[in-house]
Amino acid sequence: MKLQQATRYAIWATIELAARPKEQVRAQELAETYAISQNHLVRVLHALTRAGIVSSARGPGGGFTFCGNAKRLTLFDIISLFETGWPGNEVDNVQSGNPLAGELGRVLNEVDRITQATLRSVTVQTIINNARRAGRTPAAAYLPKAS
Amino acid sequence: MAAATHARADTAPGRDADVVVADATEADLPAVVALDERITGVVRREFWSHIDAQRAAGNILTVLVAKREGKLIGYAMGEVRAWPVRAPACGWIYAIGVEKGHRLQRAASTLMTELVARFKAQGCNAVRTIIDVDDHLLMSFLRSQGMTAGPFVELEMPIEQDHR
Repeated sequence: MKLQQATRYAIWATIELAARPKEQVRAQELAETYAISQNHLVRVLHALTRAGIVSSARGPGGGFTFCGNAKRLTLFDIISLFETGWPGNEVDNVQSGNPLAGELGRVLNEVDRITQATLRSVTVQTIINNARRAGRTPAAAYLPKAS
Repeated sequence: MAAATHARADTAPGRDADVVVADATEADLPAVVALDERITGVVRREFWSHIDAQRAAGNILTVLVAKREGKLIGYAMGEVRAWPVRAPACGWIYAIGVEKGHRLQRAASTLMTELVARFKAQGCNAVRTIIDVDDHLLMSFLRSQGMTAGPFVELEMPIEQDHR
């Protein structure tokens, strides 16, 4: 599954902040942790703030804090904020009357349904707990592997 | 019969949050069937009568109930059975549910923990289940317990009956 850069940043930031509840984390620290562009990350963090997932505080000691419900917030909730037109909707193809297009649409709908089921059932807290069970910190769990 | 398992909720302060998980008795089954109907919206008497059939066949079927102040608030059912394709026997979760209003207080987690402990005691090294792809709530709970997609995918097709 290919996600836009902003979507991946949003997932990383949300999970990292949720794993450090009540902590004010600066965007610079998050950007350095994941080796990503701070400018892009700040735009993503502001989008998450508007969505009520994180809150921000200005000034010395300020930063971003997770303020959502980690046990209820799913990957689907985050992804759907940033991916427009996703998941695909193949209903038009199914109803087009073309049997080949209809069958292809049915297969693509099957993929979407399974993908949605996965993303709607994985909460932020589940990601954090599974990473801890595996002995990984959230940041280390999602860092790109060295080539 | 294994000793009962206790859990104390970490939410809903002020409530008597003690949950006791133990093996179901015959006397519990009507309440289990009724609770299952409230949760699933389906009367599954045949499904629950499976308990007697399986026990009659000599299979070790585990049926657990969770109670708070003596009232049945949850159930879990599973058994160890062979997987039909290239995998050793594993623990199967057939049903798990908790009454609305008693959720998010670790009752389901305690049921699951006890069920997995029973499977482990029977030598299993894996737990499996099949659930509705659109039942995101149950899937979310099972994932929160550490379950993930396995190496098998369920496929099916309708079989049209000949009508004379």
